[in-house]
Amino acid sequence: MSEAATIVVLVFLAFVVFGGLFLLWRKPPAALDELDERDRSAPSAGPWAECPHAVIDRIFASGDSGFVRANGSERLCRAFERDRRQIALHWVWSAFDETHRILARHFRAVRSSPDLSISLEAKLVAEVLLHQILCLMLLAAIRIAGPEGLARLAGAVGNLRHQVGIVAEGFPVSAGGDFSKNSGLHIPS
Amino acid sequence: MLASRLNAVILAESSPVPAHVLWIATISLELFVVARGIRTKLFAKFPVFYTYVLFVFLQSVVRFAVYHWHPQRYRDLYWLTEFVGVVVGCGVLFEVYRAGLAPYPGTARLARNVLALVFAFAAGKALAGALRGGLWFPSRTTAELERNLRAAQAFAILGLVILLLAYSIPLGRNLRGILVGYGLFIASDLANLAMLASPGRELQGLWSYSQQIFYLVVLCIWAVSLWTPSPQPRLASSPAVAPSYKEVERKTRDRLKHIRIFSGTKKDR
Repeated sequence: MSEAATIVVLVFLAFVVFGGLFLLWRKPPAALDELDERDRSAPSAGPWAECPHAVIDRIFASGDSGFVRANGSERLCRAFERDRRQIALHWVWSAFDETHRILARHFRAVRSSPDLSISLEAKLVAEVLLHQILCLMLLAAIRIAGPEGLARLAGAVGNLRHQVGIVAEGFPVSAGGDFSKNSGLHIPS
Repeated sequence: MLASRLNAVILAESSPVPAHVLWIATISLELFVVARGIRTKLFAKFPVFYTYVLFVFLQSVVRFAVYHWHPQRYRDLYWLTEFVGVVVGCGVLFEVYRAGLAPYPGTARLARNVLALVFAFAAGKALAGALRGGLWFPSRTTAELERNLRAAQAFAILGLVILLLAYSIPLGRNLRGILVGYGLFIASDLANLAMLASPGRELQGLWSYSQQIFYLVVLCIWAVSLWTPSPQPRLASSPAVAPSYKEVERKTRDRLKHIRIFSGTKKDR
């Protein structure tokens, strides 16, 4: 590692440690008990309670916006798009928050379990992290392209997948154990 | 890179008044923390931590004496005591982990694995460096070893802090003070190592003062947080029959499946 890279890594590490310690100092035990109580008293219903599937399906579909575009003014169209985008963003954020809350609740529930499984914990955390990263990417995509643009992109990807599927189905099926069979490959013995 | 560190330390320490004042203030505070630990019987509760502070106190006194009466020996003494200090310091982390996570056996196992992984990685890296060869140059080798060990300690602290925050494990005032103080010391030392690798002796000297002030702050944190014994907080209310880990994990997965927005939404309806 070069000198400059070492300096950057050490400074970055120092800042991260400072940050972590600051958070630890700021989080008193009383606040944690309050969290436990809040979890027990008011379990959250999740993003689907506020934004049901039917609403989300319509938000990402083009039917409504086509109707508004055909019958409304330019200003109305813009307002409609803005609101749709806000709803879509709210939906993704609520899923993000709820996932975070569920994991935090899980951590608090298992913290004193003697049979805590490290591999299952790691798997769960990895899955949640992946979900959260996808949520953030979806948020960015909605911000950039809007729900309708995203739906069009998803449609295009779906079509491409369908086309690839059709082409793949046309390939001759080779025998399980012999990869050279029907593949056109010649393997000299 | 680290060869310049000692120079900067000497540069800072050779300036007459403030360095001596800081040095004496540090020694006094270290003695105060140890004396208070004996008086409050916290020494018996956190033996590794107090041994560490006692060691640092003796180290400071010996360094101070050697610096004044045998300055030519200071360099060797500095690196030798610094290395021993880093090794004893690793024990402080294990003590925080042992005492803080004692009521949480599962999380303690997780933390043990995280710490073992961090130190194994650091040892592996150091071993690989040693096998690659190079000069067996005492001060340089000890300095690089210190950097690696400090970085490993920083990662270990970070891992421990993440576990404590994620699992919402409350620490008592004493343990929190020890961890925050030691973490602050490690972070400032890392910043010091980075700063001393950068060009500019004035900046190095200035930062060396800053680190001494940081260390005084650390000692103040320890003095305040270890003023009186504070019990380790217990969980406020735990159900009489706690569900097994598998059961909680299954419930969590069910909840996650219910809110997932990327797959299975059609099925979940």
